[in-house]
Amino acid sequence: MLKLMKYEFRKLRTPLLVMVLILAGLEIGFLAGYKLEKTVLTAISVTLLTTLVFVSYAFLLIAGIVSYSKELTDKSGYLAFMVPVRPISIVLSKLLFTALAAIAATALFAVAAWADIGILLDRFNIGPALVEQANALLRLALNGALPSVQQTGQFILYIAGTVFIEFLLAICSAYLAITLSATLLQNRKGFLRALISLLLFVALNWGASWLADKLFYQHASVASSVNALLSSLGGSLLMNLALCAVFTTLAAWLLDRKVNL
Amino acid sequence: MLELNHVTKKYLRRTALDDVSLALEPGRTCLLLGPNGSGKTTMMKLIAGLSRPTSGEITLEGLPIGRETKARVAYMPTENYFYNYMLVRDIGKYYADFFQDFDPRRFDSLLNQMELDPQDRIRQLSSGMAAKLRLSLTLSRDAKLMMFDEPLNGVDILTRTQTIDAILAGRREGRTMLISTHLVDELEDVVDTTVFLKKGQLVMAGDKREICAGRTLKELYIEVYGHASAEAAGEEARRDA
Repeated sequence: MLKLMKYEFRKLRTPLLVMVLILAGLEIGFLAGYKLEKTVLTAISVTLLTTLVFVSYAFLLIAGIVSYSKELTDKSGYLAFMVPVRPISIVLSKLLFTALAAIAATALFAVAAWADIGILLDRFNIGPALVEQANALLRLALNGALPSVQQTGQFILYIAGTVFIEFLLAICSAYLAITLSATLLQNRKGFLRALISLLLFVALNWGASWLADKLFYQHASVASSVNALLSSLGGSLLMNLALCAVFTTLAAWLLDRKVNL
Repeated sequence: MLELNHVTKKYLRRTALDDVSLALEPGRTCLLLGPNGSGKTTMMKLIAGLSRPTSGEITLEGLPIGRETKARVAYMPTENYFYNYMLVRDIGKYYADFFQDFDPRRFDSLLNQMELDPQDRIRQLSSGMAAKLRLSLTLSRDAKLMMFDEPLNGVDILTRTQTIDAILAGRREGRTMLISTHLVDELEDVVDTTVFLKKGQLVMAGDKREICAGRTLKELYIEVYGHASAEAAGEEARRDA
């Protein structure tokens, strides 16, 4: 599977490098604006850096899905399916590569954000005011009960985990929908196949949200206690992780039984 | 060695293979014959594990088609199947990474023989050069079953002999060679088994001498598929050349 991941990286090496170069360029712009005291340049760089974060995640999501889809629709799919590896390895290699790329991107953006925010807070001396505002917001949201430092840490970790697992769930549900289109629905007409797989993708994601809401958030409102909120977040995170496993296994099973290149 | 038991493959309303049963012995060089759309490529893809039959079963050395059999089958598809970024040397590394029986030195030697530059970008190769690359890759493996799907497609008349010679040089004791082609003349003397497919059905299969019974393979081909099909095959071959 590591070898398959290596070739995933080779396929996406150039666009990933372009992304890193854009980040470096924007950072240079930001630092130049700070040093030369050009507020407009700093503001433009910060805006573009923020946009780059969202564009990068969207790119990784789309690239991960398109790469899988191409394996099942293009002749280049022969390379993956001709070699002696299990279908689950093919699916997992793509999923894990996308996950690792997202983690690497997050680490890169976190380092840049940490440095840039530090500089901005220092320049405009707005650190204490921001902390005070954040505390006020939390008090309001949690009925006056300010969370402890440990709870805040947990909360941030759970939110980050939830976003990451939601990202993986979107990929896994897309993999399952694409696999269904290329296997069980292979004898249907192209438009119908695309429509059914799109509907399935939407239904799987909507279903997961609905289930999480019913199971974990129905009784937990924003005004619930911090512990109740953490418990709901943890529950939905585990459920989404389990759904990722189910969707991936199902996609691999379909490929094993019905692959048709 | 290779067994197909009542194998059927359907696409939409078309039946590409219809209840085909066939057994190939080890060490045989088998010619898979049939006009376009007769099911030759479908059969090879099923054996290579790139597609699954709608019904029936295929086994190689007693194993159902899967991870274990893929390690024993070297398949040369008729189309290009490489990633866009790849150079000629990259695809050699890919094969070396995944196939234990791939011999990189043999691959280099074949590239040299076929006048292919390892630094060339694959997507910029002509169809003939790409066919040579696919052939070099397949022949660099030490597989039990080697399958060549239309290996002479897009190959000029000068390279055709080189291609046939390279394929024949790949014959080993216990290794089965399965070759699909329209050019019956050029492989007539080297094959010992022939399989005739027509509209997805197995028309005839067995030892070439027994099947031909004094006729040439081309005469038998015309008998089975008619003059029109034989002429179309000849025309296609001339166009490729």
